[in-house]
Amino acid sequence: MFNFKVVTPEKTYLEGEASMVVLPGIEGDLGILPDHSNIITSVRPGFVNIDSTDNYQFFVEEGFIKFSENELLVVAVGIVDKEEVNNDLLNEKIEQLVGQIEGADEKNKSKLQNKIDCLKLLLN
Amino acid sequence: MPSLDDLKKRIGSVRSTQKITKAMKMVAAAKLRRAQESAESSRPYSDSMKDLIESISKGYSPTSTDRNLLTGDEKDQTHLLILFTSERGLCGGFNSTVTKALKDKIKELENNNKNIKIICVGKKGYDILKRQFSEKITEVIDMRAVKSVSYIDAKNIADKIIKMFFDGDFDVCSIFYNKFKSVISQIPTEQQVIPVANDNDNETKNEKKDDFFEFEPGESEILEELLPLNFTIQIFKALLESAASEQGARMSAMDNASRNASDMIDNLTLFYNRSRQAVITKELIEIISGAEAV
Repeated sequence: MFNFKVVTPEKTYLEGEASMVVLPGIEGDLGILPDHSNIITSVRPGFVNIDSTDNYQFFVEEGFIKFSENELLVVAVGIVDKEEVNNDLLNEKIEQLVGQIEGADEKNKSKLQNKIDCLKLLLN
Repeated sequence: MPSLDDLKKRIGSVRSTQKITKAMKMVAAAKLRRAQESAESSRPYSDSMKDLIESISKGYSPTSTDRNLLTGDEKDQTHLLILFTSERGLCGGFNSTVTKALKDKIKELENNNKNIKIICVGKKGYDILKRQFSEKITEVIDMRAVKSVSYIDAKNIADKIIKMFFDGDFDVCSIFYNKFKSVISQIPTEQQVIPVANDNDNETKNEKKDDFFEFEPGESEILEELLPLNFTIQIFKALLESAASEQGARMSAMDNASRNASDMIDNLTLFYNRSRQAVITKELIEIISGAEAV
């Protein structure tokens, strides 16, 4: 078991102990078990699964994670409970990003496009 | 000497003013609780953010000499000062103390021949500054429509400023806001946000965390995303602290005003009763002396 903490700008969303956490890392999904090596990475839009006595699942839009000394820190924006995620919500977010992409420069454009693609994959 | 009628009117007007100040105090107290809660609940995020940046920036030196939010670009000619004030008055020294801190900074920078740009968040600060520094104020951000500060508000402001930074409009950015300590005490605070200010207590931190991190994708890519986010969160924090401080300041100002009003009512009532008695005594004397003369 290891400690985890999920914080958003508004509040601490969740904290507790977990046996495993699966995260949508920017370069692929990432499973964190106790005594994982120290890592810092950013997160793409997707679902986070936390395995502990109670299982949690929620959606993150963007953020960062840091694992060190058997502590996982998730710093994220746009967290939504899994039950509340539906196509309408995802489409709304996609539209927002499509709106932003017009005025963006080359570098941001590809970043935004990646985000849109990730969101589209979550549609069902 | 004012007539009895005049005195009565004055007591009445002080009393109605007191009603207003009392009501404002109640409203401020209710708003304060909410503002304080949101200010406190945002602290874990900004602390975590700081923690992340420290883990990354330790041992990191930028590979390119491009402008970046962590180290700036070694120039410090143009300073951008962001002032957070309220949209409404009647909150004691809230706006004037933080504006004074800003003015001191302006003086200091002017003595060093630096260029200054000012962004006012909130109308009251602009009102104080516009006579003296109107040519330096580049923008006034209106927060009147915002009832309770959300992350999106902070993001809008931050995006604008980050764009200015990369357009080369300024080199160093500092924010001025009232830090909420307690209801009776708000501390005007100056904080340098671009480049990210180095803390003095680096040594203690290094002892604790000299461990190695794996980065995905890479250090600089993460920093590139993290730093704007960190800047946004600093702005968000300042907005929240400032909102809580405003309500705190207003509450104590209105409390004082209500107390002064009741002192004033007491004095006026005493004076009113004395004059009333004097009038009665005078009338009695007139009647008695009139009767004696007959």
